Amino acid sequence: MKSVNHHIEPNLLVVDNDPTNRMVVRLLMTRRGFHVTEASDAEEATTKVNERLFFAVLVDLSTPDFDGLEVTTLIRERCGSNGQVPIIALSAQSNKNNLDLYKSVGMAGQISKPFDPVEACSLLSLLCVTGQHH
Amino acid sequence: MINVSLISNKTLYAIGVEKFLSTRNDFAPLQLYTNVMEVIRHEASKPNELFLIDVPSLGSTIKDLLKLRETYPDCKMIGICNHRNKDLAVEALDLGVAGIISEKFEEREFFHACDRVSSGDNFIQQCILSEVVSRMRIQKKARDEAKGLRLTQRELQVTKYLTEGLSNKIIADNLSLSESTIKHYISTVKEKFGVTSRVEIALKASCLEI
Repeated sequence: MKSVNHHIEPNLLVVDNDPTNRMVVRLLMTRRGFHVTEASDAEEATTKVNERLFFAVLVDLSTPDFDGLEVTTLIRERCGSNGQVPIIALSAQSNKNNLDLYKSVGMAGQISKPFDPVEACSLLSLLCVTGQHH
Repeated sequence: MINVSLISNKTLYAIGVEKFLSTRNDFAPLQLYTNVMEVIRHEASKPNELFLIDVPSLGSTIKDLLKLRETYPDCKMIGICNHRNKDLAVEALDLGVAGIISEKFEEREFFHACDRVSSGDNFIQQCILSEVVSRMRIQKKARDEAKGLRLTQRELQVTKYLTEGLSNKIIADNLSLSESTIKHYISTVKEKFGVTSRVEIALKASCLEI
């Protein structure tokens, strides 16, 4: 008989320089069965993506400490096949122009900030349904 | 200009928040409502709206917060929670409340929460944050322990039904299995849990958050 499937938790990586924001994502997504790994900057993010294959990467775009679009480019360039993971923008500004910009650098979608776990789960489900996920 | 609406039936909160707001010229005068339906009846939401919500005073935390979100999808919410009730704080966060302050909030924390939530960040006051982090650690330890037991799908199903107090016969019917098969799974769960009775299985499962 197979082991229970709840032991296999989909991994998310959240990239945000703010520890409270990261903790809230971890808290709320862990309750929904995800395993959440945290990174506070681009360097840490690329290291983590190189180490393991994530279900998705959530990148904050509203921090002045790093450029979230640049993080996306670095993950794509430096992380081989793991770097083809769906990357989702966490952004305080939600409008269509921004989404077009995010998609132009290879992001899969956008979640508004402050973080909303329901919106996040909807988008992650959509990625699976539309085949954007590996 | 940030508009703050307080949803609470406690006069003291209103007096305190009004006093805080009077010191900052980037905040509009406080709007006061005693419950969520009153907010909706008055079509209260404005641009840059921040709802400051006395969470324990809500009639139904889930229904009221969902209703507020559904009516004002772009609103931002800060919850006032009792620092001893971390579960309520977590529930509020889960329902879209972006900031949590304790019922004994002071001016500095209040504005810190408003500023962070307005700019799209989360805020949790330190005394509640410590409780939440501590709870997360306990949950992680329980999950890790549960993983170590390597329960099978069937064992997990039987355990969950046992914690609901169902009899072997009903569990067997629910899973379309025989009672003797259920007895077999109960004995393997007892062995993995290191316990000898059904009650102990339920208690252990509760500790392991199964």
